[in-house]
Amino acid sequence: MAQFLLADDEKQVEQLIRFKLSKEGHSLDYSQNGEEALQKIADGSKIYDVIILDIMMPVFDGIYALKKIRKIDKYKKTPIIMLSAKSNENDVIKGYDSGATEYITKPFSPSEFYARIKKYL
Amino acid sequence: MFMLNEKFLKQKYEVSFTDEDYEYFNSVRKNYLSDILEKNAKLDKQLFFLSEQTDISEHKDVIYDCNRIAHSIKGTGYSYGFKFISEVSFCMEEILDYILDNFNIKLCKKDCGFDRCILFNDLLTEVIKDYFLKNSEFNVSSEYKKKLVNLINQTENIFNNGNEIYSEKIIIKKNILVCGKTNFIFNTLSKSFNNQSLFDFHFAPGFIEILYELTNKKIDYIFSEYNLGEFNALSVYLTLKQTEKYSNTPFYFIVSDIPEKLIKAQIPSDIILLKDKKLINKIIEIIKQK
Repeated sequence: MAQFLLADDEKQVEQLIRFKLSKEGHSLDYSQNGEEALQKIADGSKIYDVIILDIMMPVFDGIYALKKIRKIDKYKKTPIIMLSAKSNENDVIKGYDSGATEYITKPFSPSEFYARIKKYL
Repeated sequence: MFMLNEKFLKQKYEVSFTDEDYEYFNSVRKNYLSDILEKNAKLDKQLFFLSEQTDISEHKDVIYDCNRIAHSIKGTGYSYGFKFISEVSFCMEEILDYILDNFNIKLCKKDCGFDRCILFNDLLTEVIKDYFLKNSEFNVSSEYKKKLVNLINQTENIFNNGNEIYSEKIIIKKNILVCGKTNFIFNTLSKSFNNQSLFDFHFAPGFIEILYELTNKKIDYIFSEYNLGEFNALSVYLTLKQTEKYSNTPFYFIVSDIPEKLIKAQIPSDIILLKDKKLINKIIEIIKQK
């Protein structure tokens, strides 16, 4: 069982991902923006196995959060999956440059999403 | 050129859903549709607000917010198997993108982009309510599809012929170039028009900068001090008179004393402004009159 952390301001995306992950026996912590996700990580009560960050979010966006997370020793090699809309292809490059492991474009189906991330578990 | 139709036909989001996915969607569809309906209502309120404004320049944040809502409805619509919801919100996002991309050129007033968005949003409301009724149906009737195609075609037509159809309803923002060795006149003018968004002021201290501004924008008025370092405003004026783009653009000389070169070149006295205490008021009067 893996512990996931998701940061996305879209509640529907959270529901979709939670559905699939819980069905596969994993647990998910949810944050509505990058700042909240960073607080959860800094809190240290859980070590996350996979982090999923949306790029377009209020407060701290995904790229900013990604750069901050990568500076934490414990999370230097943790798989970090970036989510974003298909049209923002420049974000793909920015994401990989900032240390993203994988990039999944929205929209995605729950099954497609899980098929893409299970190799990191 | 606004190409909604072409972009619409090109968009291909290939999302393959399993039976298990659909089973899940069915279990959460009411929650999902309620959330979307809430966003749709917020969008409606904001679009209505924008369509009521005579000047939207102060409300760019609201447009961004609308764009973000449309974008989010589009993304989750596909992810939840409601393709049509995404298609309609895709159109709204495109229109709002177009308005934002052309923000410095056109300020849309009533009946322009926002009213078109409201029509798309109305269609979205209808469709969501219909989805509520048809519990296990993810497709929509051909009647809605026809409505969407009509809306797309009408919108494209309106945007591309907008200047004719909406000649009274589009404000073209005026670009005013102020040239001089110092930016005093530019700063004073910018401050004087601080709360009015009908004019954009640009400053150019030398010939290269003037050339840059003239090439990259369509300048509507030029106010230039006579002495511009190695060049003078007369050479700029004479050069522009030979160009197709700027031959008819109003050009005003700002001088302390009228240079002999201007008299020799038979420059009309009404385009020579003396640098005195009334200068700024004279410029403001010229801009407002035009």
